[in-house]
Amino acid sequence: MSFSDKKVAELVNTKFVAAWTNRGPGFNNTEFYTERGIVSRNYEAYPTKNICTFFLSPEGKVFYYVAGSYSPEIFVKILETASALRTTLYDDKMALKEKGMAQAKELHQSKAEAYDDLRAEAERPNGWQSLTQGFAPNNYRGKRHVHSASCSWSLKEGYEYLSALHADWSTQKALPSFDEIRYRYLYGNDFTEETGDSTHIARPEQTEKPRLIAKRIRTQLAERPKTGDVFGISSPLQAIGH
Amino acid sequence: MRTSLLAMGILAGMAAVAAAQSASKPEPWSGYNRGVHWENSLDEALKKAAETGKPVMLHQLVGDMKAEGC
Repeated sequence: MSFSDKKVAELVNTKFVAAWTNRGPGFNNTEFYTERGIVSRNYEAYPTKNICTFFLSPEGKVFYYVAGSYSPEIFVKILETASALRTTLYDDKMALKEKGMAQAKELHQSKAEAYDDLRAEAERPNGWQSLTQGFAPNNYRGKRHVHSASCSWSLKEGYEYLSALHADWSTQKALPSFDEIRYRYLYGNDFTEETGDSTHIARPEQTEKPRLIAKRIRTQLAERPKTGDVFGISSPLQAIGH
Repeated sequence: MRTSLLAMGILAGMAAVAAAQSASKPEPWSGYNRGVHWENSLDEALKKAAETGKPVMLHQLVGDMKAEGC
C-alpha cells in the first residue's frame, strides 16, 4: 500500500537504494479476506513480524529497522527518521562519524518520547481525529478505508511499538550486521504468513527497557510544586509509580 | 417445481463460491517498479549504495513484491 504512494516513492528513490527480499522464497499468499480485514482494521499501523524494513550502510550494517506495514503518512515519518539517522551516523561517503552513535542515541530517545506521546493521544477519546488529520482515505483491492474511531486501536498499537523500538535502539552499543538481525528483531504483533519450514523470527534480548512517560504527563509533573504537593512526595515521578 | 427451485439454489450457491474463490486469487501488483525503483537483489543494492552514498532500504516480507499490493 505505502509503496504505491507518490510521496513515499519519491522519498525512497531520492534518499535510498531500494531492494526487497522474500523470507519464504517462492512463497506468496495474498489471501483476499485477510488482507481486506487488515486494511479495514489496521490500515494506519500493523506492526506484524511478517514484514520488516531494514536500513543498511553499504557495508551491510543495519542502522535502523521497523517491523510491520504502515499508512503512507506514517511511513513517510519512518523514512524521514531513517534519513535523519543516516546523516547523524555517517558522513557524505557513508563513513561512520566519531560521535555518530552517541548522537543517534539521543535521536532515538527523543523519538521514543514523541511516539509515546502519540500513543497516549491515540488512547484519548477522539484522539484519533487529531492523529489522522491530513491522512487520506485509501482504496485497496476494492476495500475503502475511511478514518474513524475504529482506527484508535491501530494507531495505539503502532505508536506503542514505534516508541518501544526507539527505546530499544537507544540502548544499542553497536550497529548489527544484517545477518545478525534479519531473523531477530522487535515487532508488535505475532501475525505471520510464514510457512512451517520458514526461518522464524525471534525477539532480540533487550538489555534495558526504559520506562516511558508521555511528555504531557512529564510536563504536568515538572510544573507541579516539588514539595508539599497533593501526594506529599518530593519526586514527581513517584506520583505515577516510577 | 421444488426440484427445479432446489437446483437453482444449488447453482446460485456454486456461483457465489466460484466468485469468492476468484476474488481470493493473488493479483499481481500493477504498480511494481512504477513508483519505487527496486534493485534486483540486496547485493546489487549494496553495490549501488557504495557508489552513490545512499543507504539501502531493504523490504523483507513473506511473499512476492510483484504480487503483493504494497
